[in-house]
Amino acid sequence: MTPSPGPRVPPDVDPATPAVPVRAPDEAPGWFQRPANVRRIVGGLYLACALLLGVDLLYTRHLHSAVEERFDGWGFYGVYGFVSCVLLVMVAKGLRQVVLRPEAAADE
Amino acid sequence: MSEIPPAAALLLGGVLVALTRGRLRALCALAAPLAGLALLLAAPAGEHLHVEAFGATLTVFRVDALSRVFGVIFHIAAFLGVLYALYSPHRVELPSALVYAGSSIGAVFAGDLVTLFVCWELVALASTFQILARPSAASRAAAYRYLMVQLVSGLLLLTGLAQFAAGTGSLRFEAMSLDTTPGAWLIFLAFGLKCGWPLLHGWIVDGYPRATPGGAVFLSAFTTKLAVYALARGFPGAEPLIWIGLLMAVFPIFYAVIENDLRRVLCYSMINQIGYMVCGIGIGTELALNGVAAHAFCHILYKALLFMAMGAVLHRTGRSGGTDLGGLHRTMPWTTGLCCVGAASISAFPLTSGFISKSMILSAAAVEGHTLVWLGLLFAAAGVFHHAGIKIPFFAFFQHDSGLRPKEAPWNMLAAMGIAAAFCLGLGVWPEALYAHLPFAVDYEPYTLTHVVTQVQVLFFSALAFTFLMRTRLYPPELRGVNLDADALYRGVGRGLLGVALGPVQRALGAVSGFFHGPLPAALQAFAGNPPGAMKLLYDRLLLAGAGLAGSPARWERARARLAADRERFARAPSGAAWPIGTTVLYVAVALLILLVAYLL
Repeated sequence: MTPSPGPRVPPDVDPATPAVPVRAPDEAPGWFQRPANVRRIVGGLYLACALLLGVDLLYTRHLHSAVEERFDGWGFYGVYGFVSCVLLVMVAKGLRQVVLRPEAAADE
Repeated sequence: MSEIPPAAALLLGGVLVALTRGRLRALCALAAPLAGLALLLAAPAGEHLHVEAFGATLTVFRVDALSRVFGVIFHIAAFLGVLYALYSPHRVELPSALVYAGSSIGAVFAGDLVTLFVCWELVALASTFQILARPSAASRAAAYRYLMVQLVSGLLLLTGLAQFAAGTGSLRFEAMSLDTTPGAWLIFLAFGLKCGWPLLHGWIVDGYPRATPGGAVFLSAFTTKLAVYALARGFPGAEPLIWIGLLMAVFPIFYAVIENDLRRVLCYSMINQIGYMVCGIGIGTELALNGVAAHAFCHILYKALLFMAMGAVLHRTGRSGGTDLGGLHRTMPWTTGLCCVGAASISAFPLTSGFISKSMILSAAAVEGHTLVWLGLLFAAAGVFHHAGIKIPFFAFFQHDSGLRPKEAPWNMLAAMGIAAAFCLGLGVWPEALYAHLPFAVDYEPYTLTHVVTQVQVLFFSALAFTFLMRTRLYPPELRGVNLDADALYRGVGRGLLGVALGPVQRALGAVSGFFHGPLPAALQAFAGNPPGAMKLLYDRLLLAGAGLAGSPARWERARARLAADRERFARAPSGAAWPIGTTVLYVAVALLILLVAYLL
């Protein structure tokens, strides 16, 4: 969350839009922009994930189908969520190599 | 009272809004959906309005549990959309939106395929103005592309219903089997096109992001969800839908990750959510169909909320690309907060609406033993949090600071978002309010310890993955540009067809038309100038050919001399002077006689 030098005006801004106010030069960084707070948020997430893995040991799951029972290992849902997302992003990155075109190509 | 279909209130509202101005206009616009809702709630289950037309009895207003759920949510969405777009500078937007909402509601309560078709076409026309209202060349082009697709869907429906009626003798809009007539397949395809099935979805990601801020809210609520309703009504338990739905749930999230325009990201995540519904329709059990109705209800609310938040950003900044936004939470805190409620709902956090509806479809897949489907939908559930739940609020309101400090959204937009957010949280806390009105009796408890813990695990570890990828800079940066999608396929196929049409086909047609313009008229003219002479020449040629085949030089020589003599005579008297008109008439009479005999035989 490092402040960038100034708002960039993209070529396709709606012409009807009135001028957008921009940051004052002496503006103090917001709560979410302070590195200490970002560290707090990320730290909280790590802690929550660790706790959630721990919770798995503390209760018995009540499952209603054979499909769910087959995947009923410790931490399955956490690992599945994590791996899914990493896989999703990696494959999407590959997809971009194939499908990304410059904007001008859109309305040829 | 119960004779008046709710659609009438909205259609009338649309006309009034077009004719009035100022406060009266705002009042008419807001009152129309509420009046429609009152009419709906006053009508008991059953068929209320029959009309005789086209030699058949049409059922214009049929209320049952399924149509009531969709009818109620369509009214709520219409009200929220109107409130949101109340001060839209584009005058055509509100009246057409009310007609659009009204015809969608009319389609939901249609008891027969003809009424459905009429509403279907009205939906197509009225919805186009939600894109057309935005004054830019790109929007205009997209609107016409959108309209073309919608009209193709209508054409398929019309052809299908005609064949279906011929095959089964019924026009009623009820559950149809795909095995009965080819007409059922055409209807199936018409619904699928409007639903955004894989490879047929190009119009959604093309058109919706180019709509006005309010137009995108209306579009996200009605067109595709009407198709979901139609599929749930017409083809519950149709096996292909399971796999189509799974594809819809999985493939768009890859595009959503790399897409820059945040409203287009919402389109991809909308297809993903519709995928759950289509899958549920394919599974077709009571739990699954309840899940479909519940998910459509919740989805319309949180998707409208997300489109409203991104529309507010577009309204205030003129931008919707992830590369151009960021840091807006400092001056748009309310929009940020409400957007986060929508993001939590689409991600199915406990205590939000997504949690109580999406899980029904996942459970239905698990109970029916569809392992692959269940794993796929779970993958999509993690993915949706990633690209919609985190990406949308993060790139618009947080991430790197764009330096933009726009004003907070106008009051009416905030009010519409606030009501939608209240619904999202209210349904999450009190699911029984929705469950009591689903098509089948509900025996489902969303808030079990197992369910809450597993869902929270999926979500938090998805967030962990996002953090991990961001911190290691593995996450693909937002890039300006266009990602080729199904439309590239259409363009490729179109170009190929055009190439064939301009190449071989045009040459062949040219040869044929050349024959009809050149040699053929010349021969006919020569023949008509002197028919007997021409026939004589033909006869001489046959003689010559016969002589040639027989291999007798003397006969061939005689035939050649005869042909030469006749040709000379033909050339001397080309206008028929040598053959009086009476002879020609005689020949014509003989020809007619031959025709008559041939006909009698």
